Amino acid sequence: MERSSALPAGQPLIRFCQVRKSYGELRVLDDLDLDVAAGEKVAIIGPSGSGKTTILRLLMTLERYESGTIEVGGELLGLRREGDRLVPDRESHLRQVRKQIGMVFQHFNLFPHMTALQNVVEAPIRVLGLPRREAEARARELFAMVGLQEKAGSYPRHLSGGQQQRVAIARALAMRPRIMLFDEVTSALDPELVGEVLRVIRQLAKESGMTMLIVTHEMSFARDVSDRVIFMEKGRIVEQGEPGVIFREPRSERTRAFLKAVLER
Amino acid sequence: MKFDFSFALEILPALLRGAIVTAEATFGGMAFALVGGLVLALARRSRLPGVPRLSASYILFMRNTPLLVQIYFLFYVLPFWGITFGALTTGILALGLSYSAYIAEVYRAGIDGVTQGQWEAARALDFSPVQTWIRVILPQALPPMVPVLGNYLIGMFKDSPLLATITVPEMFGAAEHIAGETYRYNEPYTLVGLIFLALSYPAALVIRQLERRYGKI
Repeated sequence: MERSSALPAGQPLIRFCQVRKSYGELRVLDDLDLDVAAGEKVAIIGPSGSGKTTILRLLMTLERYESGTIEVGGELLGLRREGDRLVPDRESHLRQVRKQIGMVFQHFNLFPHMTALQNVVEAPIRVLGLPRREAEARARELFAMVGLQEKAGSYPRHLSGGQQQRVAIARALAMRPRIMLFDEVTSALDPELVGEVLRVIRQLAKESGMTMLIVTHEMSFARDVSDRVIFMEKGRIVEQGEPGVIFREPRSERTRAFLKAVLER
Repeated sequence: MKFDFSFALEILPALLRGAIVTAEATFGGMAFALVGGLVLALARRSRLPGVPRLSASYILFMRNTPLLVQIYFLFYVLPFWGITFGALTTGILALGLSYSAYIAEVYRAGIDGVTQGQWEAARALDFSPVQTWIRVILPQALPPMVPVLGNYLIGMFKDSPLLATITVPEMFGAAEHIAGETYRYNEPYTLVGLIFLALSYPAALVIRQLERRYGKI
């Protein structure tokens, strides 16, 4: 990928440094430090309101943060240095940095006035400037990957939740991001549709070198898919480590209580 | 009271000439209001300090004062400040300025009807602000606005007789003129009502179809 800056060995692809974010009185990220290596698959778990989703939303620049810095590929996200000060970044540069990131949302957020195919090719054509034929060829590959070859011409309202979410995954992948963010992508689905979506992400995690941040309430999925699991509570990372360790022998009492609660549902 | 058909036929051309003025006032006023409403709606979303409040105040004022008062104000008060227009122009201006406030709210409701997730998806796909509006937001916001705007068009059409009070020779004014000269009221006013009905009702049917197709805001 020509636009992504070469990263010195050992430097994380994503770096959160003392990032703070509040909604009114509620501090959802409390001076968070987090490094993610290129190619790493990180699952983020924890109770509602613990700040998991906020990490993804800040990376996608859907929201601003109050203090600290976020770097992606060694470049500041949403800020730039002006002398000693940090000021809001220019839109053009912000878009350059953001281009490396794709996101899949809890509620799919497909464009309802476009077919599945149009949903997937729209941004590659308009934003990346790909010729339509090339964008459609790529979209067909992606539809094959997510198992929706026959649905390319369907509008979202004629697709099941699981199918819509798989289109949304294809749509994000069509932009060829280095980093994929999955925000509780199965939480809005009927139970019988969860499997088909998780299968796609599992396969993606296994076969691609992409960096993935996955916020989820599906514990067995988190365990299988990730290289590292992060347990968050009240805007802080309580515990993190290899999935085997976190799920089998968590050190923190908080983690243990949370896992006990969700696994005994 | 009897209805004299031959008299009715006799005055029909004059009334239809008035109907043309009514149509001019309505379509002129609507064109003005469509643009004015857009300006107000954009001003309401503006980040410039004071601009959203200015727009909101205008909308509040126009929606809470009678159209007739607004028409009189434009026609009789503005000339004191040296601002004078012809009667029809003043009428179009009055209808347009007043309906801008309502139509601004239609735009706003249409845009607010597009979920936050659509903006976020557009951002995640790196659309520019212009692309986001043109490719994502407006295609979803506009269709449900169409029937509502159609209803306001009919509303304006039915408000247009108020312009007779400032000497605009529209259909109702024409009827008044005939009645004043002949002292015959039944035929001219009945015909005016029937012509309004004949034009409004089919339009309302079309709008009902549009609502069924696009849904309501």
